Amino acid sequence: MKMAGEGLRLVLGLLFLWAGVVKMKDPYGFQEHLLAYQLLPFALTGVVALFLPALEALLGLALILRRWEIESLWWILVLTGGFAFGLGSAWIRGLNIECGCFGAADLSGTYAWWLFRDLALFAAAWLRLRQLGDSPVRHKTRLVNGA
Amino acid sequence: MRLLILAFVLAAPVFTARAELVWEKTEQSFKTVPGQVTVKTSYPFKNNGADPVTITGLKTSCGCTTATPSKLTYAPGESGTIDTVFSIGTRTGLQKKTIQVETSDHRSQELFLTVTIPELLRIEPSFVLWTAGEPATEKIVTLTVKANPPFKITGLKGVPEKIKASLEPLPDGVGYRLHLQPKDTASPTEGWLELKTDLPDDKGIRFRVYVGVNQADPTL
Amino acid sequence: MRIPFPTLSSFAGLLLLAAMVAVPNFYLQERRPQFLAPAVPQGEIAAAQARMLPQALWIDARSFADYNQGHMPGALLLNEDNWDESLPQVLQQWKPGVPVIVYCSSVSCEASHEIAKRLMAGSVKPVFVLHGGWEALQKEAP
Repeated sequence: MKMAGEGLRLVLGLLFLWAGVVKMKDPYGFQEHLLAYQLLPFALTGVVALFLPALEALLGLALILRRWEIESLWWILVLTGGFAFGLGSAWIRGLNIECGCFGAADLSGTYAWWLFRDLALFAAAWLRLRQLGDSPVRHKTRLVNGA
Repeated sequence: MRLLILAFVLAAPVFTARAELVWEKTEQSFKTVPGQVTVKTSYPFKNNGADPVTITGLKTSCGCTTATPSKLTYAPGESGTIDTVFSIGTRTGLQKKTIQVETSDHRSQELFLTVTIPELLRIEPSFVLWTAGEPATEKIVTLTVKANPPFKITGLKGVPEKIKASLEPLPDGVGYRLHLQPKDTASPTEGWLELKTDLPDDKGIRFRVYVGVNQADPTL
Repeated sequence: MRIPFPTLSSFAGLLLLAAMVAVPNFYLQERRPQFLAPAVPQGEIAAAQARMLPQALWIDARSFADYNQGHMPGALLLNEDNWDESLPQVLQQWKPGVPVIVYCSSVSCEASHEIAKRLMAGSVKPVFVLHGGWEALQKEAP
């Protein structure tokens, strides 16, 4: 069980590090993808295009190096949750988007697949957090129920 | 006497410093008749200066107006024209176009062409579209006869497959409502629906409404 | 079920750290995001913003001659002269949600506004007129 947990941590870490770095290399392209969702005002898409990839890469790195693991996992919950909302909104409105999650290469697929992928990441982060919660001795963080 | 001639010779450059094209008229207006395709007119001018003038540039305010000079260079005293052709296309209403003539004497002249194209029939909207999967609800096109004397719309022809069309005359005598509804939006159909009128055929006037049901994915 | 909460300072700290990485990256990259949508009249769109709309349908409202000399890749020619011939093709390429961008030669020309008006009357939307037209596209070319 613990091995699986460490595996989850590494996989999430590598995925986010890779996704972040790829997008960091083309912020303009990422902004184009964000604009297609027609959710954020123009200036905000610029801000998100600038900061989000760096955050993703940092989360990935933190997970790999086992620093701030709880914080990183929570960020993943926030990001994947927000993204699920964005995907769902675009899906309902019938917008024609390309995911753009993993850079320019990630241009094929359907809403169902992207949403599934995203929720799988959410679930992975949630499971890892649970596992960490069940062994409080190793981690110096506050628990929901606990001292 | 020699002083006078000297003064005149010295002053001469001031008089002939700038060559000059003089234009008969720089503004023209026209009203079109139904069935007309183009408006052709000329802007005549004369080189009143002492030097030859070459036309170095001709720009029109839109692609619908073309302007051609009778030739490029004009000797002093020579006359010429700028021939313009304005295509009416599907335009209606007041059309104001400008032609800018640039010449070798670093001058430019603007010529104005105003064309009034009477609108015979107002069709709102000019096309109706359903997309695959969209509910097959009825859509209405409002027709208003603007011509004076007014003509009558007598019927429809060329209704595309799977489209139900009916013409409803309005009490004012010049308005009509064209009701359009596809049987379903599952499969595509499209075409130009033509309005039959009591206008004489020889004028070549046609009124059409484009009606279509789009297929789901244009890339297929 | 026990889920550990993060410490707020570390949670926010990650964001700060990301900013410290993101800002230099902004200067390192050639393809940068834009923050200012240039002010354009209602119904119009600036060239820079227009280029960033993926899957937009571009309409050239100029003359046939101008179109032939050069046009936006993929743009369809639709003007008041060839309206009847070209409208069906344009409508078949469009579907709801696809933004339409109409351009003509420059800031001053009317043709793009007229074409946009006709399209919007038929419930095609959203339709934008390209501010500055073909001229602006030439200046903007990446």
